Amino acid sequence: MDATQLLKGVLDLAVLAVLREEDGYGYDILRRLRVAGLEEVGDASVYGTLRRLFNSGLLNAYVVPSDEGPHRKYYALNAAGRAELQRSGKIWHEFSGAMDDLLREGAVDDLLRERGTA
Amino acid sequence: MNATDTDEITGYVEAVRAALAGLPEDVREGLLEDLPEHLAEVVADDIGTLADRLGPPSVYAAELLASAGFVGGGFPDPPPSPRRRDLPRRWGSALGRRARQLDVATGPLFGRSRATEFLVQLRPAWWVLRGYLISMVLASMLGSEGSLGLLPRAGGSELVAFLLLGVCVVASIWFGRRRFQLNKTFRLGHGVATAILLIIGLSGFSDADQNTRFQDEFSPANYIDQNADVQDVFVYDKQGKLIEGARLLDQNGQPIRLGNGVCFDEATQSYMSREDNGTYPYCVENAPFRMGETSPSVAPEPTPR
Repeated sequence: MDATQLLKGVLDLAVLAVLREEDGYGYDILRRLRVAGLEEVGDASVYGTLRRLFNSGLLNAYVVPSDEGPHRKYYALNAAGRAELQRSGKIWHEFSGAMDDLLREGAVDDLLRERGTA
Repeated sequence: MNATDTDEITGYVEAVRAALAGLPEDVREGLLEDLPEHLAEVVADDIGTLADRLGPPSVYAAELLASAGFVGGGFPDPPPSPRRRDLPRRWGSALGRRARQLDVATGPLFGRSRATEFLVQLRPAWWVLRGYLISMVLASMLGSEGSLGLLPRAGGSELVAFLLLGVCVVASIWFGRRRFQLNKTFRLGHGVATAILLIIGLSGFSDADQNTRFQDEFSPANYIDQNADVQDVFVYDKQGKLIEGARLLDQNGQPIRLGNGVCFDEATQSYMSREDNGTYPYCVENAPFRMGETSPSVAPEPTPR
């Protein structure tokens, strides 16, 4: 198992989370994800994910002209995106909680014992 | 950014475009729309060629396709080979594209990049309206009034009406905010129920409007003077004898004025005005029934032989 496989499932959530605090353009979002520790995340994946989230109506976009370079398309969470972030975040917490429990030493034994006494 | 950078970006984008040649053109162009600007940021940030930093264009294209593409997103599946049974789906996706274009085109009217964003903001208003409509339908099912009014009166009570209205609106808002993950059947059912609700609501609304609008035309019926064609009043006593010089008074002692005090005189074939002293009848000779000493010819038939 490597992180790229895992990323595929949660990149949407990661991008939404990165946009929660502050709007951002594609490359900026990529940088923020990498700084946050998702170093394996690919440029094309972030670009493609942004396009898809925008097309699904979870993001708003606006163009900001830049002095030194080409204009930048900024993405922002809209209400639907915020709702999706909340919903997916909940699923993630449940999922990761379950995984943490499973990975704990002796966790399966504990679970079975609980089941037996209950 | 210098000319070499621009050439490199253009070349990279072209190579990615070539790798995505299997996609329908508008999907592909939609994907690549912002890619040059995006790659310019990558170039500006660091040294090294794009291929060094991002890998070969074909790999980039594949990654782009996998992430942007065809999992639960806004892009339709590319039809590999157009077959006859695919046609409805392709028309569907073409319609979807038109709708999206319209969506974007009308967005500025509402000060948004898409019109649907504005509609999303109106959602809570729909929840309130939905609650109101549900309460109206419930009331008309529970009550006996039959037609929809403006308040959900079940059993004619205003208190019940407002309670029902409040409960339904709050429930509708709660349901709207919850964002249930409905499966396909439930989504369909929800859609059908919404459509039925809207139809009932619209018809009820137009009924209520008509009732308000045409009330004015019906109400004058109440004020029609039933005595308008009364010209004279004849008062008879218990024995059927015509009383002359009778006065009619209402409960307040006010004289009741009926008729116009004009008599048709048979002899002269002309109308003659009588002195109006407030007594009836004006024209004794026109009495419908005469008993005893006056003209027996007009009197009702005595007992038959």
